[in-house]
Amino acid sequence: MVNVHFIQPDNTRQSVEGSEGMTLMETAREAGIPGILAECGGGAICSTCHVHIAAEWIGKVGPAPEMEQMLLELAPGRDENSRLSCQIVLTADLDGLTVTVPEEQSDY
Amino acid sequence: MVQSVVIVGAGQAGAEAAITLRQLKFTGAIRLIGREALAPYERPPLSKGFLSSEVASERLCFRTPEAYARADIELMLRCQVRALAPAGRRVVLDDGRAFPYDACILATGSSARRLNLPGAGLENIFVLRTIEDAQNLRRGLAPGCRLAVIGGGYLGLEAAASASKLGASVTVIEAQPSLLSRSASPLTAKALGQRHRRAGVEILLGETVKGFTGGRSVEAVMLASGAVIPADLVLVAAGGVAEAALARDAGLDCVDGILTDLDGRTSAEGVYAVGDCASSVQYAGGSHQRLESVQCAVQQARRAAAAILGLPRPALKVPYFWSEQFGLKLQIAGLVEPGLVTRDEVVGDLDGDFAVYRFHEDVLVAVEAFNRPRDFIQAQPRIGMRGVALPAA
Repeated sequence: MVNVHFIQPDNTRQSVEGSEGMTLMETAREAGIPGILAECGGGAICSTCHVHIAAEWIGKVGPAPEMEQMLLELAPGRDENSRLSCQIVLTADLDGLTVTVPEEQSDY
Repeated sequence: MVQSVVIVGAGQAGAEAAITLRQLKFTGAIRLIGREALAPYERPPLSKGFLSSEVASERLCFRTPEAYARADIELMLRCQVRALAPAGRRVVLDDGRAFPYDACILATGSSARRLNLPGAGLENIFVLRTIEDAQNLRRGLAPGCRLAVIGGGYLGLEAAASASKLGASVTVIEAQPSLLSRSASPLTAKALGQRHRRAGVEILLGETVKGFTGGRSVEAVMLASGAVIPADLVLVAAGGVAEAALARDAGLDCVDGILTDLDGRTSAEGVYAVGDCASSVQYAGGSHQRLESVQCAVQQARRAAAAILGLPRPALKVPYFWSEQFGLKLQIAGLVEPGLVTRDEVVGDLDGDFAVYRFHEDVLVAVEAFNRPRDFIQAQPRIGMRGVALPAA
């Protein structure tokens, strides 16, 4: 099990048990986390599963590769810690991962 | 005040509507009624990865049945709705159970167009709409088998590519003089046809099917031109038909599908329609259109959920669509309405990776990116703008 924490723009926090091999987006979808829309289903075609990785985790998660960077340019409210959650595969290393759901995505 | 919502159809649109209602803090009852056995699942992979490799069915599900239970959504699988009674605000199931609603969302999807031709009832003639259809087709796809695909739209071409990858010998039969005639530029359609031919897929254009011959199982497809195409398997991919019988029987206005406004409202008070079954206004002032696409289904579902709860309409987005064939990614941003005259400009190499920029009177209306995701991504904020410059290469 890999525990991940989602923080909403209003600071409410949901902690979810994911499993290794699942993506962060799939974990959020299964848990019904608001604001992670994942319109394209994980194909890296849209940018509606955008999250902000907590600063202390960005080193472990790593930066977005080039194509993902371009997709993120379409995501409102992106910053240097932005990633698409469909591109982050959970590993034991990411146990405790904390991310914030962008405000702009929540009120879609 | 809305206290109970019944959603008829547990595909992507229905599931999205249910989840969105909860995410928008609706606390009343939600029933999500579907006739298939599996929890709501993704259909796009059915003609792509799911057909060409052994992927477990459950991998296609958006979420587990438990996730719906946790969200207090009553997921009713293997249930067929027999009637909708808008005046009494209730739906009636085949088994006689009736459920009242304050709001009802029809998300009944579309079914494959069947061919009413001699021999159409022979064995090994398939359609591809459900996971079961895909499993049936996949079982027959042995290396060296001969597959005839009727219809050169996205579904037919994707299935042709997947079958070809499995070693099948594939012939695509299209009645129109070009592939993808309703949904892509002639340049993209032609380039895609070339890829198929290079991979050994035979493509017959302007050929109408007259019928099928065989004993118990299909053995050949007969064309109006007199040609006979031997086939061990046939896939009929001749478009979709809205599943609108329930709505029609209930007296709702239907044309090609169930007519709705931008928020999914049908002609019956309290009844909404979303996804493949709906012929909807896609933007303020637009005409009714039935679009079979994931993004359209998802966004209509969200708009209907917001409308039911009296919340502001979510922002409209540029339509997009994607397809995958032979490992190539075709991504399309924007929508060219039928009959619209366009000026199409190519960037890149039509034999390799390229993008087609489609303009109508100087306004960029769509970009088709063929293995050029950068063009697809960068085009999105520019759709609808005038004087968009083409990228250098």
